[in-house]
Amino acid sequence: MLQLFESKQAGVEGLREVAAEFEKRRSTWLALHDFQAKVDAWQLEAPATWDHPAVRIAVEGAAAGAHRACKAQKGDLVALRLLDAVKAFRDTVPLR
Amino acid sequence: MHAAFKEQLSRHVKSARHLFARSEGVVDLFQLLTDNGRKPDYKQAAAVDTLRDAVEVLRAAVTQASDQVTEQMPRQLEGLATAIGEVNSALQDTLARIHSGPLADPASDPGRMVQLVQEIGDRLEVSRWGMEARGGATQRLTCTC
Repeated sequence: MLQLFESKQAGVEGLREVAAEFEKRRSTWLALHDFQAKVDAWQLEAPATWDHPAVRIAVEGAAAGAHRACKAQKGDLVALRLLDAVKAFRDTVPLR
Repeated sequence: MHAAFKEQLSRHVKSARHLFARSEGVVDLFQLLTDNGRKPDYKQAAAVDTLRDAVEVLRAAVTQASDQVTEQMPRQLEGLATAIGEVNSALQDTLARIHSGPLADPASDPGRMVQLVQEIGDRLEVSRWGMEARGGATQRLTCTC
């Protein structure tokens, strides 16, 4: 009975652990996907017509999220890709 | 199912014990009156007999239900252990999918990966509900997506 209780607890702990790992992975891919979708949408229009404050807020938000993810998940290559994407966007598009 | 039955039985046993105590009081009082020379009333004597019979029937039913629970316990525990093993195995697979393959490859297409994490999230929800249904996990997890 004790063994069963322990294995049941292990199952619950295992689910929590997997859920936490999953959440990290999900949020990183979601952030990258969202950022790329925004960049694609912005690039459909001329930069002169952009809502620059809104674009800056979105880029800064993505950069902050990427930094947080890189710090929390050292060696997470997806988070690094997001960071690179933000950096590349900042380097090529001068925001007012 | 088994746990719910056991819980229900435990409630019935508790109320049955209360009934046994009360009926014993009635039977003892009736016996005391009879022993002290009071002529028993026919209807009262019949009611006391009926009460004795009903108590015996109830006692037998409670014993039978308790025996049934005890008898089924090993099978229920075995089933629960198997289910937990299956969930643990599925969790290991999920963990492996999160840390390897396309989800761990930064060159993967983000749109496709968002779909993939959605699918895995749905499966985790199924695992969570499965464990809760078996009484394993009751705390809400934050893996909804």
